[in-house]
Amino acid sequence: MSIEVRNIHKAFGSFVALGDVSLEFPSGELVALLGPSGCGKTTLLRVIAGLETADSGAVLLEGEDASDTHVRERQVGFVFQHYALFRHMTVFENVAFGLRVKPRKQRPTEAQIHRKVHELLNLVQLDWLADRYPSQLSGGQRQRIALARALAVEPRVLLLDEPFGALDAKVRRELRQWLRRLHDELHITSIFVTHDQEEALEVADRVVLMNHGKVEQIGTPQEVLEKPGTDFVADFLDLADHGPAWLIAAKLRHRLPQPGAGWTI
Amino acid sequence: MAAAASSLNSNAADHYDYQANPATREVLWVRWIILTLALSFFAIFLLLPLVAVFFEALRKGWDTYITALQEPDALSAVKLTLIAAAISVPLNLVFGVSAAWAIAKFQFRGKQFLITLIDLPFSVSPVIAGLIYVLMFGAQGWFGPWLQEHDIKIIFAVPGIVLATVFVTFPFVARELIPLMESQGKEEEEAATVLGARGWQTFLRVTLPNIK
Repeated sequence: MSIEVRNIHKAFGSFVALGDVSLEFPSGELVALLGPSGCGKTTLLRVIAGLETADSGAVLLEGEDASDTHVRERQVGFVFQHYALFRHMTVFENVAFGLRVKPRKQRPTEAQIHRKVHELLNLVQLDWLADRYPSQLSGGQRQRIALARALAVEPRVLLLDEPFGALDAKVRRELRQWLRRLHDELHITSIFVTHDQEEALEVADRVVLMNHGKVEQIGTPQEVLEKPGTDFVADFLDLADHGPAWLIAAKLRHRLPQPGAGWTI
Repeated sequence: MAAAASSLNSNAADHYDYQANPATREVLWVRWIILTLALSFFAIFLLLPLVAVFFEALRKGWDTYITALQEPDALSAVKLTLIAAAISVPLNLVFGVSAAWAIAKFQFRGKQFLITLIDLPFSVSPVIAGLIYVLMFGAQGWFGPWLQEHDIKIIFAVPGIVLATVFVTFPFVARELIPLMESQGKEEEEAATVLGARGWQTFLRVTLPNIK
């Protein structure tokens, strides 16, 4: 499902978190919102989810204005930075939650819930943890369970807030490649927030660079690397220093189908 | 040297016994003064009355004690205590949980005022609390005439005792819960809402089990 935000403005007191942001997220893409902390990327994600209301502007889900639609009716999946798993429930019950709270008429039977949850746990490769509690899992496992839980209600969009932010470097790398593969399988429109340029450039189909509540540049990882639109983008992607950018390009090369002749960083 | 090194190392440890380490140990007489003060206060104001009650009750032997318990006055006192508890505990649970929920999970105007209000029974003497209820529900009180017309007795009756108990014990539940709920944050509730849970489902399935 496509997502569009139009002229979103949001201020907390005198601090402008989002200043007149307009963006389009085409169907089926994995988009990264990239920027330094405090740039408004998480706020934008929460506005799309409905967890935060914008002062003005509109959120359009599949072309329909969703500004007045309640969070629970927006059919979005949201993955929190600190997982937000229900600590008193087992992994199975966590994933089953979204199915169990459905209105009685739409609620699946116990057998259907059982099948669906195990299907999802297999998808995130953690079926063997079904009876554990969140506190007994590692960070990476928790995040995958959080993802399975979000997918259980078959959301039309998947929103991930710094999904790998609380993990150590090695797990981060593994999980983001895994997320990429998962997205290739599911093709659900996804937006993830990150302040890690390497993560954004490696995983996303498209990157939205943000700073001080404004969008600085939108483009494929290749585009923003080759033609940084503003000084901020060049600086943030570390393009002044050829070392890291070159490394990123090398990493990207194995994923992007055609680096093209203009690939000269 | 060894002691210094161990004190450096154990700074990081959670269960650090200051008394076991000569470098951080207090002088003997300081320890004695602190201990004596604390323990004698405890003995005089808490332990002694408790001992006195049991001693007086059992002075004439078990048989007298049992017979005294079966007197109608004693029985009705026990009954009254149980009734007051049976009513005030659920009431306080409901009020306390809802107040703590509102304060910990939502932002609204007058929140600070509500927090102050919850602490009020702690700062008001129980005698004054009783007086307030007499002023409200007594014969000359605000609702006195209306209550008399409808033949409802509150002051000097069971409802009065329940009211006073609720008033005095009200802050306990809310005060216990607010820090706990605040430390747990709002993320789990947000997760539940995004997953499609209604307000009461979120409360019953997520908020309430977390504060048990």
